[in-house]
Amino acid sequence: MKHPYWLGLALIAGTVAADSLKFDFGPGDSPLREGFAASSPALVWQDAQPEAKANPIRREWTYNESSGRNNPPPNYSNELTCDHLQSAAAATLSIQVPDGDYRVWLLCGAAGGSAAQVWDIAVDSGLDTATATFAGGYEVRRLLLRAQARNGRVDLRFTTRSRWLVNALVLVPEAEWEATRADLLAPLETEVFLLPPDVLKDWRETPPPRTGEEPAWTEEEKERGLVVHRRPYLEVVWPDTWPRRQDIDQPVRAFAARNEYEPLTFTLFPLRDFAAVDVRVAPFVADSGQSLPAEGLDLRFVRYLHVRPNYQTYHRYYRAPDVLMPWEPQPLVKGENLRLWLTVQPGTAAKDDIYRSTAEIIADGKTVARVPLVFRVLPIHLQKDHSLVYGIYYHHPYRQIDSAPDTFSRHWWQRKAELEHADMAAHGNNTLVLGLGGRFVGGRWVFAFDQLERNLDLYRSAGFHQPVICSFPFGSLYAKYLKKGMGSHLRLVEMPPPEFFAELTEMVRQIETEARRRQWPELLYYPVDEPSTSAASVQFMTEVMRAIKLVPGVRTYVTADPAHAEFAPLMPHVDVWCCQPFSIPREELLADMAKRQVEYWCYPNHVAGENDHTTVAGARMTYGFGFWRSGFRALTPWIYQSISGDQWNYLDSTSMDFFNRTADDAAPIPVTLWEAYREGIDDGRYITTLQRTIARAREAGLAELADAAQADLDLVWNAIRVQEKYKTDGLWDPEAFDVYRWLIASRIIDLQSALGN
Amino acid sequence: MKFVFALFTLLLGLALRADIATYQSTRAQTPPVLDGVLDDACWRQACAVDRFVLLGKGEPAPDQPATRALLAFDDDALYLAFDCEEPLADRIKATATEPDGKTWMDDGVEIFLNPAGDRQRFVQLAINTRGVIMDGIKETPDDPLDLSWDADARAVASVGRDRWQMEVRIPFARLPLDGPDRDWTFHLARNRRVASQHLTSLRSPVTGFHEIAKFDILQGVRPNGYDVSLRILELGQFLRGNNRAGVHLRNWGQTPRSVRLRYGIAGREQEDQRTLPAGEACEWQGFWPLREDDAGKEFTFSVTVDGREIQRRSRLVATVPPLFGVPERAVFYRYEHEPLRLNLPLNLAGGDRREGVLHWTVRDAKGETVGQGQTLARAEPVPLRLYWNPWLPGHYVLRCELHLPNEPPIACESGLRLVRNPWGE
Repeated sequence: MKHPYWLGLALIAGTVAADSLKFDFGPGDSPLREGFAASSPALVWQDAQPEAKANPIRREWTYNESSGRNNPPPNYSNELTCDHLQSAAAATLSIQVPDGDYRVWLLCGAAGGSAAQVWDIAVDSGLDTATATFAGGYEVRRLLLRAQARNGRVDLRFTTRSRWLVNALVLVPEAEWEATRADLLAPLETEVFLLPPDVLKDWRETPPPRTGEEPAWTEEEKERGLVVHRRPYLEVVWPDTWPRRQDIDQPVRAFAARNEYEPLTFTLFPLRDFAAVDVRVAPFVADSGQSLPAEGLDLRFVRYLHVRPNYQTYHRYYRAPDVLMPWEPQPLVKGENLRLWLTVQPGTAAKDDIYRSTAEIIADGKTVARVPLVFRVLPIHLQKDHSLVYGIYYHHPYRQIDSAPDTFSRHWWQRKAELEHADMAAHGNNTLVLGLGGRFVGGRWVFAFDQLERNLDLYRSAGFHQPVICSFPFGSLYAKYLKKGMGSHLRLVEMPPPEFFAELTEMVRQIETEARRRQWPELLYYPVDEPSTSAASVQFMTEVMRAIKLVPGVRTYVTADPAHAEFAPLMPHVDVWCCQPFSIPREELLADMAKRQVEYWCYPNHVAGENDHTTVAGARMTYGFGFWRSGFRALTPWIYQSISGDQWNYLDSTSMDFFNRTADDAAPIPVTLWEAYREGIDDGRYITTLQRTIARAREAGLAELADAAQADLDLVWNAIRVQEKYKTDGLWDPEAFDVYRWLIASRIIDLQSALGN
Repeated sequence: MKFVFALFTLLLGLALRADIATYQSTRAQTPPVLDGVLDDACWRQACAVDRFVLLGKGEPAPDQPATRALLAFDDDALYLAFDCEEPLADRIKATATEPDGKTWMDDGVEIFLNPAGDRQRFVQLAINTRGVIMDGIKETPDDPLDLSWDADARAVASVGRDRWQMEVRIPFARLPLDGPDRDWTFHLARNRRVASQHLTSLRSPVTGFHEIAKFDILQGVRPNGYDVSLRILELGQFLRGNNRAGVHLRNWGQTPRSVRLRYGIAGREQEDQRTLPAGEACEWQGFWPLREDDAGKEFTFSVTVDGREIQRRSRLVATVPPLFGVPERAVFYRYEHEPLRLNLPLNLAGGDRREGVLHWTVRDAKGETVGQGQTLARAEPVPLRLYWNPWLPGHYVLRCELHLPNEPPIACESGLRLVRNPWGE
């Protein structure tokens, strides 16, 4: 019960002039955090009275009938985050305190309710401001700002473009800030942003073993308090990775074609704590005086997150390098690496030249290092094999637009979709997985064709052109006949009557007719995800695919491994098999594709954050050189983004979050694996460019040069050992990727030169 | 207040403990005949486990057929029987036919035994309705399942019109026993592939079969004469050279015991004999050689106490990797003042690594030696730092020779290519 401890607080405020004030906001009957108060006479809302809301604190796991698994709650709230105050109107919170300097600590989030709601919170103390914008009912943010009490009060002005909310507030006199932060707030933040103690006690940290050994630090390094070391970005830097002596204080180098992005990475290893470290990158300038455009530079740092060893594993975690956060000054903890990630996009106007820059490292106000950066722009315009399919599963933000409760939220989702499509296109994608909604009303199926068209308009505006894997309301059709669900992987499926299959054919015919009328790209019909090999599942799927293919000209798509003998009855009815990479030998795959006009795609989930967030080299190999040699035609991983619970917490909720995150401005925040996809696709573009340039050279009579270039391409080909799932073992060493790419690039340059362009 | 807290803690402990069921095993006067028919006398008095629930749900499914398991033991083995109703018996899946095949993908049962009761080391047997067994051991819950462990178990099943039955014998001789009088922990499971159902005998809610912390307790199993326990620490890397095997032994009995360890490639086994004093423990290690021509042969490791074998591991050495692996790459940037760093995979057993020295030379396209050096072979892969002069782009040959005591050098050659780096450095 949130009892009003007014009297007590008034006494405290009157006798101990500058104590911290702690408030746990919410309805009067919701749980109150010990040591916090629900309200106080010293605390007054002006202009608008916010509404108090609460959700139950849940710890119970619940059974999911479809998956057959017990699932934890979507988030682990506590007395502070289970309830809050919210409003769409601006309001001012006045807190009576003695005059002086204060720090304000606010918790905002976990509101529950609509996933489409975008919360937008701006708090202004008159001295400082803090903002947060995020979507849905589970994310929680901490806001910090300075404040100054004058005339016996602090005023905090809450404004919003949609709705604001606040769960808790701690007002700390400046003199007590460090102690309060360490003793009260840090444990609270662990509880809120990781797991509460009663849950965390059942989890165990299982970090990977520390490799290498501590270098002998020089006196200068000890004096500086940190060292800068470089490693190829494909090499993982764990929180405790020791720098290698040969990597310390080395220049950081990269090269790129004009129409390419390329990362430059280096890492700070502190030998003592620093309160704040800033990194300033100087302009990249060539000896000729030319410089690279500043807008082509994007500085980020690699954020370590607590991850589970497997997306459905509980009670174990380790800290892994994962998200590429936009750069802002960071504290450094002794012995814990901080990796910087600078992406350079030269732009098509950049002159081919060698550009130099420095990254100035400023630790606690003092410049402690300058890292030399060297970037070569190549005289190459990379080409792409557009017959290859780079797709990705996708939860479309447009789904939220129609249910978004206010204009700002709607615009935010719209912007999110547009920025994500631009991001996918910039990474090399050329299609994605979409869904067609529909329901049975008035004796007929009514499909959401206009909604799909809206999605396809955006798809086209991003330059996508490959077939669209499309789900449709197949589950609803099944439920219409069987009055229940099919279960995950068809675990509960039963064979429906013949009328079901006739109606399925008619449903597909209707969709296909509309698709052609609207001149959509080809839809690949995708009724069920990952059907199991059980007899009931295969029998059902065979009839389903047969029914779909009764519609002339349509192609079917299934996520299943044709190597399983149980799927043999499905063979004649499936046009696109999407299986694990690269599970079928190249020659066998090419022969079958030619013989039966089927296609083999794959979904490289093993490098999509499914089990391991550090398979960066494996991701690049899967998307680049390995893909080239595998014979597969398409890569379609799960998933661009799938958030379960709080997007910054992998340990809450049923499964881990997948892949990219979203910033306050709705822009995507990439993970390292996602950048490795782009690098792999770029490897493919170098290969395609050389292949085409060799062909041009042969046509121009430059046989000797063409042969030499082909020999180098063959050398790279022969160095590739195709694996079923490239992860971390059996790969090239990290620098080899770039050396082989350079071998190809230098042949392109030689041939172009000989061809006179 | 303290009393309330203590009472709460006690009640909480009891509540948690209440999920772990305890079963009392019974001794079989006469062992059952393994024929897949549960008509033996020993089953009439056997310990019964008959509450099987859906994995992850903690309750039976409405349409779930009955499953009943029985346990008994004699001096030398644990016996289990399963009686599984199956209305879809004509659709039972039994694809695996080879030992250690994917029997868990079939209709069948899984048996998890932790004889030490320490909730750490357990064995797993997955048996399909053909009686085909996949068996393995986990030395700790986080280890992968080691399929080189062989239970030497036997299973026979019979499939009827609406049910199937199975009898299983698991000899104590192969189980990771600990001291006598230990309570075991165990878990029985059934895979109903015909209906995509996974059933567990555990009372505690579990989402996977391997959650050893929630295994139930089996009391009263008393192997006769098995008072030396062992824990295998390692069997070896199965690489060329001298592989190290290690084991921890403990004599729980009141008299000294004679322990014989026999290990190595079939036909070249080595033996070590020692007396283990009463109540004492020791760690043993031995080295066994592996040659490249041992591919296709079987490695065995067995421990015998006073003439009775208490542990046997065997592993088919399918291949012996070549001593020198392929370098991670063949093309390198040329830098004016930096050595070329190359990692050379060396598939050499740890027992020989300390003694190994790797000599390298680099020849240019004309065959002239342009650089040479040597390093120790301790690390895997061996990091080579190659210097030579003049540093010119081109093709080179790297020759490596491994020198081991009392052996002629073993050499390999690989091509290297130096290319100008993109930055003109």
